[in-house]
Amino acid sequence: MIASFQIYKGPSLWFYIKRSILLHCECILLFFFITYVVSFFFDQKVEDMDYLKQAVRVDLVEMPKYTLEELRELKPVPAKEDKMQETKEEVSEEDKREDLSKSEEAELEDLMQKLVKKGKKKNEAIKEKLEVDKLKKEKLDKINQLVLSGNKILEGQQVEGDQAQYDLQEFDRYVLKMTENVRRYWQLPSYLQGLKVKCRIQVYIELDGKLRMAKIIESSGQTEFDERALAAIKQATPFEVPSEKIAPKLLKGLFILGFPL
Amino acid sequence: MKNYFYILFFLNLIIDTGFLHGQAQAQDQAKIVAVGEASKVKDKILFDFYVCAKSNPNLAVAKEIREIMRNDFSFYRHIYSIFTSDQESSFAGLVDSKYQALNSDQVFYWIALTCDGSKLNLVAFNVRERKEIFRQVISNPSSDRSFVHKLSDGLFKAIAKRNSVFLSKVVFSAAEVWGPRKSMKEIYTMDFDGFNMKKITNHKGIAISPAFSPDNNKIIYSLIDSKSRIKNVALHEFNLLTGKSIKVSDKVGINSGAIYTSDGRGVYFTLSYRGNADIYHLDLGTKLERQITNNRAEDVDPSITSDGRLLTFLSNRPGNAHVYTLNPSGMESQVNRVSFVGQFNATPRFSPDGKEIIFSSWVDQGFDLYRLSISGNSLIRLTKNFGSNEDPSFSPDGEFIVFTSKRNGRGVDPDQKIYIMNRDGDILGALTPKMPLCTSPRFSN
Repeated sequence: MIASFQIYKGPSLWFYIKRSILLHCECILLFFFITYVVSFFFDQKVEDMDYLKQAVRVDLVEMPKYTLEELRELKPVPAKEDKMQETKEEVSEEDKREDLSKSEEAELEDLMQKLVKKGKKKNEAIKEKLEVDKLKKEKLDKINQLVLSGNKILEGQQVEGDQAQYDLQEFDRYVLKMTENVRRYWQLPSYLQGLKVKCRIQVYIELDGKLRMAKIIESSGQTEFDERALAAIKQATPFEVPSEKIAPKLLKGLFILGFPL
Repeated sequence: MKNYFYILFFLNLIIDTGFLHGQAQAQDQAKIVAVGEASKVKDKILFDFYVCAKSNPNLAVAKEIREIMRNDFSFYRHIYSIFTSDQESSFAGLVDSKYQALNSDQVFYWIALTCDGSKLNLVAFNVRERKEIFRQVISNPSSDRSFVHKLSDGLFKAIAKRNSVFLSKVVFSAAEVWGPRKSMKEIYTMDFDGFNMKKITNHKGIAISPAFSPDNNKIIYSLIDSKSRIKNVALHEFNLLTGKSIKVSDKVGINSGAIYTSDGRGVYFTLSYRGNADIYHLDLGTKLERQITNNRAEDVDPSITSDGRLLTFLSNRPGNAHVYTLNPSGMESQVNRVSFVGQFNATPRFSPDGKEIIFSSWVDQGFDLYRLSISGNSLIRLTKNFGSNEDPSFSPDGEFIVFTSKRNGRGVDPDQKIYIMNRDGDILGALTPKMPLCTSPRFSN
């Protein structure tokens, strides 16, 4: 018996390798496309989310200086933009008055010089004012932080909390700070307080810190409860302007506020 | 060969997909942050008052009742916003139209006091749920404060579903107002709002540190008897039902700072007859004593949780006075230091739920009051800037604190009076504006 061997006459190995690479590329492209479509049209699943917990360092080194009442009375610093606008308008009105009191050509140069000097002085005054305001704001922010973090004096060494994250990422720090602001406006009437319900809201923040969208991804089943949670977020806006590094994440709504959990 | 490459391809595809998906997930993982429990919006209560006729004989009494009730509820101003109105129309058939007029955003509870011949009706409605939640017919209308406090308490229970402070009393020690016995101090009781004040002892000595028994029928206190040759601080018990006082402990030195055990059969107090102040338990029936603390330092001012499992006291073990807790069933059992700051801390008292301790601490030439969680994690300042604030005591519902203060006095040594504030430090007012040198106020149970 002579064994007969059939010679393989199909496509070469290189043909399959090329086809494999091509299919891989197609699949990867398809995967990206599907991921994009899914993330665009569907809500984020709760099981895909990570809980962000705050670790609080508490070392009491002296008795608290502020009473609870004093801490509650502290209010957020009002925006300074409007005041700046007013100052600018005042300058232009004064200039107009001066302009009218003098002859047109002879005193034009003198007027221009004066305006330059005045402008410099005004600018310096505005700069100084802004610096003072900045310092005041920083001081008040520090006090506000005291309100929110429990009248602590020093950062401390001892660590309390479920998850001891000393070095939170910038995004986490921003989110926690924002949550503390929302917490100040989170209020319920007595008939909603005893309910064992929760509401989760996905928050999208614009590049300038304004609220882009707040979307209920898990309703409590109580319309008023959900509305009050949404109202708390809206009242806490505008938030701090995020850095360029974290702004895209905030724009994509990559954090969810749990009311209460 | 062909099959081999297809298998290889699909394996690679699965691995790559998993890897890419994992990577995408890691990049876009959303963070959930808990906002926490909401604070409470104040419930609004409207006190309405309806009369059938202006000639109604109960009109004046009804107005007084409403005024006392409104005053009672105003103590809970941190929880409720109180409004009042006088309606001169008839109440009959008005309920439906009132519901139409009221909106639950404006008013949560509507309370109406109506005249009905010789009777009065007290009715409360839940506006949001549009239902009657309380009704009481007052057959013999009276503006007696104790009677009205009971009405207020019933109303409060219907609204808040818990006990109020309206039936609570306060026991305290105060000096005589004038005369040769001005340096003497006696024990007094009063209602939670400062009314109905009664002097219950007449020792012509210095009676201090009173405390109610769990059934509120007895008061334990210490007495420096001016008539006795032995100058010690003896322990006495006053029976409010019989009006009689008996001596409970008269050992050499201090027998003071007593509080009842949770079952009322014994007391915890400080004894110093062995040379050092320690806390003891005394069985009032058998008169057997048991030492609770045993330390070279001085241990004073015990206060116990309502279930009797934890006792807090003041001790200078670390050098200056700090707050400690222990298990009172043994001696030096499970001693735990709770406070770590403050130059000199004093008078630690448990909250009714046993989760917090309120105490005074020396700051800037005077005492101020602080609230501390027993875990030691939360320390909240309650008073500031106004005189020296000492001797705090929680109300049985945990919402109020009575304390002594020299906040409104004049001169170098202003008079010390008893004040009441809510648990967050909002001062509601003085309870003893005319009584001098008031000390050691304690709420009933």
